[in-house]
Amino acid sequence: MKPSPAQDAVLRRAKRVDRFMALLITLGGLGIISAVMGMLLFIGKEAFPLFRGARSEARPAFMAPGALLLDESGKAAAALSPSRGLELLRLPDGAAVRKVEGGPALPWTAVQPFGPRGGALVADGEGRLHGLQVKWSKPAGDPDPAHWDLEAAWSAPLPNPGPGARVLDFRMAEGGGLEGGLVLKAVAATPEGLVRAEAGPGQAEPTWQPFPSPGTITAAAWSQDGGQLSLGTAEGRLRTLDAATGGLLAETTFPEPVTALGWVLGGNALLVGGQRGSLAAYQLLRTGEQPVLQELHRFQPLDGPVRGFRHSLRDKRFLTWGDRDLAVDHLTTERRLLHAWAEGTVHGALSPRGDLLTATDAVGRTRAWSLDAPHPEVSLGALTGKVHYEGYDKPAYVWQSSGGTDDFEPKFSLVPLVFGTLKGTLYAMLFALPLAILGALYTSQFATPRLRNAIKPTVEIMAALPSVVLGFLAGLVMAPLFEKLAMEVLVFPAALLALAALAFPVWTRLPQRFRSLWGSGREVLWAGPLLGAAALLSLGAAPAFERAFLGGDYCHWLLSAQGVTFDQRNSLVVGFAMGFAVIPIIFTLSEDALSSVPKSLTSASLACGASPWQTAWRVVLPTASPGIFSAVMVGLGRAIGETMIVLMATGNTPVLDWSPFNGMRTLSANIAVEIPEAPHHGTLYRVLFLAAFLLFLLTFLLNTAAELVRQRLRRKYESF
Amino acid sequence: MPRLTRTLSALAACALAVAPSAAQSVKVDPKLSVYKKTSGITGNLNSVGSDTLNNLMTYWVESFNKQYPNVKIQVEGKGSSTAPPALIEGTSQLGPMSREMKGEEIDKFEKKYGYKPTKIAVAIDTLAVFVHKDNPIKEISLEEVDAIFSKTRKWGAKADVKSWGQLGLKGAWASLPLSLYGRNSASGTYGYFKEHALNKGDYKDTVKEQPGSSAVVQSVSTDKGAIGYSGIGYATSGVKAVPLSMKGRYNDQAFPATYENALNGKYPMTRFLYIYVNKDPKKAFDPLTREFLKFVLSKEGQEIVVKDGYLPLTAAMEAGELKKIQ
Repeated sequence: MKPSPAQDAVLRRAKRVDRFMALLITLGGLGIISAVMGMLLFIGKEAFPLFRGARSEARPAFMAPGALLLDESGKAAAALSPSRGLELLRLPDGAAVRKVEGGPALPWTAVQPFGPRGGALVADGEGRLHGLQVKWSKPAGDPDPAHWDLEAAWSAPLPNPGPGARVLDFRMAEGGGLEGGLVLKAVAATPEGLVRAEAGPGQAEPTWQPFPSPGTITAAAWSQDGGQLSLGTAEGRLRTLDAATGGLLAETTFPEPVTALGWVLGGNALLVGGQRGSLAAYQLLRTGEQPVLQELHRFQPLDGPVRGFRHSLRDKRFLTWGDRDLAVDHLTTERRLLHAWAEGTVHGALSPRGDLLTATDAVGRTRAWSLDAPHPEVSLGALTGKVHYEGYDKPAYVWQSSGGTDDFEPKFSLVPLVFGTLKGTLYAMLFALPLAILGALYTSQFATPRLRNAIKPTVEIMAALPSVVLGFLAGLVMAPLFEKLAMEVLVFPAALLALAALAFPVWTRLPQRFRSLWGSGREVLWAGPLLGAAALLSLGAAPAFERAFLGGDYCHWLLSAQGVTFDQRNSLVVGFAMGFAVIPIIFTLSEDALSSVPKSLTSASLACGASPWQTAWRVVLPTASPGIFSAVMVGLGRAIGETMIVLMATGNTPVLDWSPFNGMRTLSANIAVEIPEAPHHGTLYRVLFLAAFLLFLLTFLLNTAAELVRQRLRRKYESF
Repeated sequence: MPRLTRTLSALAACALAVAPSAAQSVKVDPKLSVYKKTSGITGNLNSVGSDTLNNLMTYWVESFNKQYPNVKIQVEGKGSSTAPPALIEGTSQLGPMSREMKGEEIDKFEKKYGYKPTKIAVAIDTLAVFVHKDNPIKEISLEEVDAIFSKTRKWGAKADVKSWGQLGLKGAWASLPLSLYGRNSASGTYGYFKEHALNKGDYKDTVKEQPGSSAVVQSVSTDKGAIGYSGIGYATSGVKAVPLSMKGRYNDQAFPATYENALNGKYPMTRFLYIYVNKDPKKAFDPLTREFLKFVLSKEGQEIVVKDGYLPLTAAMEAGELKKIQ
């Protein structure tokens, strides 16, 4: 029969709507997929420049009169030479802009080149040593080096150390007191042994004092505060002395004759170079009973004896030069940022920002390189492995991303963060899983419909609680309360079980009529008084328990007997608060899955004589398992990504410890805490994006795995 | 009757012991300039930066607004490290910071604008170490603070400090574990404490990072074994600032965080609080920013500093800072 025109029109309209909706839904789905992919792409784009290698480029060579001090802009340099004195050069062509007058009369007999902060040493015609401190003086906002000048400050001179003496190292510091002035300390090797001297305002006439130390001293380095002197010998010994008393603090061996010593920014890591090109960093560790000199890092060797070091003033990179080649390495990651061949380098220089370096040979021919290494402090090894940081006695996983000064060594290990994420999720799931699934089982299988209609929406309202509120409550209310009542809370489950075990036989002995009237489906009403009784019991029993077994105070007991510090902001509090956020999700989805098990199955089971419990456990639960599984996975995803609760309820402590009595720092909370401070496109910024990428990947993998398992389970139970 | 007098005098002694907690007794330098209102000041300003300075900024803005009702200033304070990015991006004109800018941050600024940012000191802060108000501890040395908060112990302490007994407390306090509170790493206070109290060492992983100074103080006041640090301006009645000593200075004597001890340098953790601004040396300075800074540095502005619990600049310091914004 042909449909009437009216029916036809309805049908056509229905089809049109159908097609339109299909299109809309397809477009929506595609839109979501592309949005997610776009996000992933964006996160990846922000994160992956981290792993870009360093780029360097040779710049035109020029002639320089002597040792150079590069300006931070890379547009000018100070040059110091015995014949011409102090000059200001323009870069990159090396043309002299102006001569800086002052200081001892020219010509000088020798020059000890600039340190990274502009200190130098000059020997005048009579061999007396003058300390020189150079500072840039630029008119504000004037980018033209032709208008710049140098301020030179000279220290009181040290006497001539004698024939055959070689100055190993010197140190310039601003003197204290009202006069100011420079304090110059120097150490020199003479045929008679090591000598040192100090000159400064208000000090007696300086003289060279013998400073005995065994071996042929070939290199020396003052510590930043001048309190210690480190020495290297031709016999391959490395030692640190107390500069005031000359007493030996620590000593170690280096595999080859030491030819150069230097510092990395911050003055914690001592760089050591050897005769055959070996390159390593040591540190003086003073936290133990005895100070020790400990190897911190080892770098790729140079091709020939190492001659000198210069460090940057911004991060932990440093320049090393030898007879044939030079290299820029980064201390933390041991990454080689640049390697170049430069025959016969006498003076090397690295700009304060570490983006320009020069090598000058004996006749003044100077070669220059620009270096672009935006993230030298990051490598795959530093992100995922143990790293030996300055001041640590052994390699460790550490997240400590920023400090208040430039000489801070950033520590970007993602391990504590991933660990914290997993730890938080674990404690949340430990709390939430049994409660949510068993609760759902009870509600769907045992509760009366009226009760069920009351319970389900109530639990769902829990989901509406914003996580900030939960976190706030957990951190400021629950944590102090839990600290006071920790024993009570821990005793409570045991008390509840004991009471339930007692109450159950009583219940079964009650008359059948009473039980069917007040029991089946309404058992939960009896749980109220039971919970109350258990709470009272644990309140009463916990202090006694604590006195009897834990010596009166669990905090002290944990610390003294177990070595565990109880922290007010701990994983149990977080697990509890996060459980609160996760329970409604798992409960609702599981309950739906359990309720949609076909009535025919349960009826059949019951008809065969199975008890309601057997039916629920053996028939309903397995049949609904795909649904419950996805419920758990959705809950897990929520727990992994949860930010505000962890942020507010824990102390964000990046500990690597499963103990439930301390906190954690999760990937998500870490991103939330640190992204406002991260400079755009800086290293921290990119590392945080990498953390986001990791989080994304973690949830993505988890969801994919969950979906696969769910499909399998569904196929398995499809036959029912 | 004598009993009553005794009680009263005991009460008075208590009140005396509690009341002059650093700031109340501080008088601003009478030689500070008096702020004079100028005409034609309108517009908007944004301030992004230090949490330590957050309350203070809000008070300044409030009083400034009374003089210039047409000016709108927004204040956001999440930590000093948020100031340089905001200044560089141009989303803020004022960058309050509780530490100096790092070279790297200045580099980034200079790369964008071609000149360096201008640093104006606006107040003095004594960074305090707080404990729970019932804690009987009398004084603490920086070396001990280092052993409490740091895993590298750069001041040279031999052993890790984990319980109050190791700091000399007796009885029930002796076995109480220390609970450590600190600031998040965006904070200038975090950086300053790291530099001075830890001698540039590293924090222990167990230091609980709080998003703001008030959160640190709040946590310390509810946790009996707690020890934490923040600017003195956030002190409440629930916490106690411990006098600090430093090895090798003034015979290892401990000094409380008073104005006098801050100015003469006896208190070991005294610092300036700054506002960084973007001032092009070749152009005239934006009048609104200039007037705001002038107001902050004036007598009125410095009285607000005292009211908020921080310490005011002296007239000599003020003159130096005013020169920078002319």
